Amino acid sequence: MTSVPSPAPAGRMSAAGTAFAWLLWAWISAVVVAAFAWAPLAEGFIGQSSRILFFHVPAAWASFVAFLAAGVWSVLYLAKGRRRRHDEAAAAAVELGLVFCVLATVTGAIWARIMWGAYWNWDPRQTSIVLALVFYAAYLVLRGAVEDRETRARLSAAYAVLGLVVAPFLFFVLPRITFSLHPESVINTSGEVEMESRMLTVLLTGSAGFTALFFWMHRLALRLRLLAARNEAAG
Amino acid sequence: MGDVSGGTGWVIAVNLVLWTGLFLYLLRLERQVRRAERTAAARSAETGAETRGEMMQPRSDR
Repeated sequence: MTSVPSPAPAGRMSAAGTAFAWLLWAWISAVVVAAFAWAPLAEGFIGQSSRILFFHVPAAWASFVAFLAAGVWSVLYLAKGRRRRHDEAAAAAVELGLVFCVLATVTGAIWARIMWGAYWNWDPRQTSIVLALVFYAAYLVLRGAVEDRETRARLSAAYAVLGLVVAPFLFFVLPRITFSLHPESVINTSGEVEMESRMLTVLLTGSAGFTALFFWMHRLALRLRLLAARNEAAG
Repeated sequence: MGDVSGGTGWVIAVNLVLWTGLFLYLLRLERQVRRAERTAAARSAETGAETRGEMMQPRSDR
């Protein structure tokens, strides 16, 4: 039986943590402003629709990072002493990954409405993101279905490790091996980056900002899980 | 949203969906953390009171 790790004490946020949060929101605000006012419009897109990609792509990227992080924490859980912190960190990452994945799906559907005339077209990209949603929703269902904590942690860790293969396949391989109307990825099928430099800058800074946002939110989600575990253990 | 000319309104709509979604999720998370912290504080106060109560008992009753 492993003990419940203690979360950080209530109400304590270091000066560095506060500074990081302010820096993060300033960074994201700058990305929003740059997406509207600095980045040029892309060729072949209707109206302002190319600007949507500055928000949709980072959200999808953050969900991928979250699923990958969940896999890494699960590997750590299985390989390094079955620590509860690693198990809860993986679960929190999957939950956040699903939030970002839903947001990427909705923003992508809005873009599809402008470009393709319908919110949903079962394009390979749309299909693969739905499969990712189903795969990781099943992770949470699995956690909810197993009562014994140790068994639940072990099974869900094995499932999330499987996700280390499934997520890259669904996010990067499947949409490339099937015909899609979706615009080419930042790194196209020839392995080259063919994007206007300012657009690329906004897209990359946006993706970096969303990645940092994920880790910032993850700290809070993990804190909640550890507090809940401690309260549960206390009876 | 009948207009499909891809105007700025659509980009603003995307931002509203994204930031409202994240804000609501963070709000829910923050409320749950506060509730869990209150429960933990109440539990530790209870445990502390019990421990103090035990220590106040005469040695023969312990």
